[in-house]
Amino acid sequence: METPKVFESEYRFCLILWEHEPIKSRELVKLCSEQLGWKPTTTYTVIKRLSERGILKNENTVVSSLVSKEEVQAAEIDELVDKTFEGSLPAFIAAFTRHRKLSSDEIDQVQQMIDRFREDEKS
Amino acid sequence: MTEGFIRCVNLSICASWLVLVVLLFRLLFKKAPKWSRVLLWGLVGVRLVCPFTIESVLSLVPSAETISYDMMMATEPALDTGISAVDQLVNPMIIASYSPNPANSANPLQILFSVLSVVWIVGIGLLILYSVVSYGWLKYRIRTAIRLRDNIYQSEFVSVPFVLGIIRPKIYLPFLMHESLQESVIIHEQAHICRKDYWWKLLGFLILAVYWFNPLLWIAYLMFCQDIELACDEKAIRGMNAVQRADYSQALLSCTVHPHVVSPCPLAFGEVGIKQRVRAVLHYKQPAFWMVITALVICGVVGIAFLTSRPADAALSPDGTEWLNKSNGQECIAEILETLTLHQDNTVSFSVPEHIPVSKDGKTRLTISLSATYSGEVTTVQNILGAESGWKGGENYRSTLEPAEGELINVWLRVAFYTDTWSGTVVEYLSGYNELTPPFVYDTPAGYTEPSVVVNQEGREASVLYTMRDGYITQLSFTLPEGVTITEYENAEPYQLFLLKDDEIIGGISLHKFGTTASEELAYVDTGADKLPMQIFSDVALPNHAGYEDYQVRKYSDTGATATAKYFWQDLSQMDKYGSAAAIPSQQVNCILTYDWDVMPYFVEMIFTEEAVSETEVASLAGDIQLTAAG
Repeated sequence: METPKVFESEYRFCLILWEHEPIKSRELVKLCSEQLGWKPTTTYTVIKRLSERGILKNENTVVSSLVSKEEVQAAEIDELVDKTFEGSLPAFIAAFTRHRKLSSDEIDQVQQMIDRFREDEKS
Repeated sequence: MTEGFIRCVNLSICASWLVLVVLLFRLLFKKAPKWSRVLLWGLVGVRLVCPFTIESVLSLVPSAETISYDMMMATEPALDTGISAVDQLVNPMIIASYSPNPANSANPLQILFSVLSVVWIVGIGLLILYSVVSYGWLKYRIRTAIRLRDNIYQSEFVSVPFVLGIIRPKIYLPFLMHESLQESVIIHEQAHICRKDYWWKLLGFLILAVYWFNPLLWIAYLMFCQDIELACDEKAIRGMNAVQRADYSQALLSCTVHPHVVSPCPLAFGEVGIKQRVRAVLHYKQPAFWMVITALVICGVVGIAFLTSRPADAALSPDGTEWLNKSNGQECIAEILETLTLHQDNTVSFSVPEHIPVSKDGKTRLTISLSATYSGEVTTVQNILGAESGWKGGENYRSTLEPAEGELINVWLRVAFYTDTWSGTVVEYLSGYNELTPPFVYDTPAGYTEPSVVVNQEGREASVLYTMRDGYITQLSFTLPEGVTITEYENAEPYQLFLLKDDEIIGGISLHKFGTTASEELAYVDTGADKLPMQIFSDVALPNHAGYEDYQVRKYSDTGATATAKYFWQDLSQMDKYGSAAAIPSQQVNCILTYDWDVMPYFVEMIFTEEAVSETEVASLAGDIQLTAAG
């Protein structure tokens, strides 16, 4: 079976789990609140989501992992943003306040501006 | 709601002038500290939020009220932009398309404005809903963000750093950001929090949501967002050395070229105008002291010039006379009318008060008409003055009566204010008349009472207090049929009232002069007989094309009676259609007639359409009606 990819935030969560497993979900909520700044509901949602994806199991409020740290690291962390996210936001505002997609020309120009400035400062 | 809409449109027009000035300022003073731009946008916000203005002669706002609420009712609706070239161009078009047609009950502008205000409210609702939903959605997506330290969080759903939250704002960053970039970004975002930018941006968006119909304000909001970023950079790099500034610029660039973009919702922070910002950061110089002072002075001047409005109505014209308004105009008319005097030496006179109120735009003027009528084989009219204008004030006018033949039967004086309109016609602003009839009194001013009608209705009980121009004050009281209300119509003769049911006109109440006031002729009237007494009703009933039928007395006294009847008439405007007057079909409605020569020399006619009020209701109303002298 192929190890499912996890998001960066989920990976950070798993790090806590691996360190403390098996762990009572209430304890896990507390740890996540301290170390990740998560609300209890967020932690419970993530536990549920990851158990559905076969990354951990939650039996009688005791949580333990089903995949090892090494396996996840081998599968790469999916840090990419969900594409659907973009479309759901107020495009009418975004269309104006957002930069147009910068052309590589423009990026080069600005980069040159910065580089030239650094050199001038050095000399 | 319509009133609120018109108010917002006017405020947004005032604010648009200010927006243009701020845009100009941005162009001219590129070197000014960026916070001064944000301050100027703040003035635009104040202008839009604060419905009141301080009056100042220094104001440069052309017109505080481009669209007046009365425009909807005006016979010739016109804008007052404060720029006469624009007015002259636009108003004829508006008048051509939106002048009310008297045949329709609703005014086209009234309909237009109520439709527009509904669209306006719906637009506001949609904008607010959209941003609340998108805020919630963003918040939901980043709930798994992991705390880096303090109020700084990281999430894989963030690609461009931003600040989110209203009370305890948090900074959101992407994962895997190069450390030197990350520090620059955090400095920038913390400067935003420090400047409370997330509040100003939210406030700006809320204002924009209300004024969404004005495209110039959308541009203003976008520029405002840009200027906030620039001002924030300015604050973030204060005290940085050149290397740090280069790192900071690098951070700006990196955040911009990230391939996946979390679009900022209105409350979050995105990046704008990267080239401009990098240049501003690299070439930042502490603004000179004089520049700061100049910027502050300009903001102050702009504030005084554009947050104020020109004094609306100075009460006095330059030469010390009052500007014309409805009340002093009516007073002036009454003052002239009461001086109408017939003299023993066969002359007639009146005098004009020392000060005639002058209209502010110079378009309204006083006109006076005077005529005399003589009986003879044919009635002749001597026109002494025909709508004469050019009165300066203080005139004593006197003219000789020159009968061709016969005896004087009436002297008629009419005083009015007329307004020239855009289309070249004139409309009446105010008017009044006075009439002398036999028996004449010589060498004594006629006196004049301004006619008025006061309607009092409580449930179905109604009373109407008439003040007649010849001084009679009379009260008419009665019980209305269920659901009927009395209404005055502004432009109608004060003797005319309308009856409404479900917003439809279903009848009216009007007063007419007796056919005769001579007591020896009135003595012949048999008040109790079911026969129409012409001594009373000839004014209406004598012509061929109209009259009363089926006259039935419901109650009577020695000096008056109340009766029901059918009022019938032929619509003479249909002459072309039917060929001759006799062929025009006659129409009829139920009516109640009441008179009492002890009370006043006028009879009351109350008309009801048959569909709206049944004959039994009319009969019961007739039994209940009271006509009494008052005052």
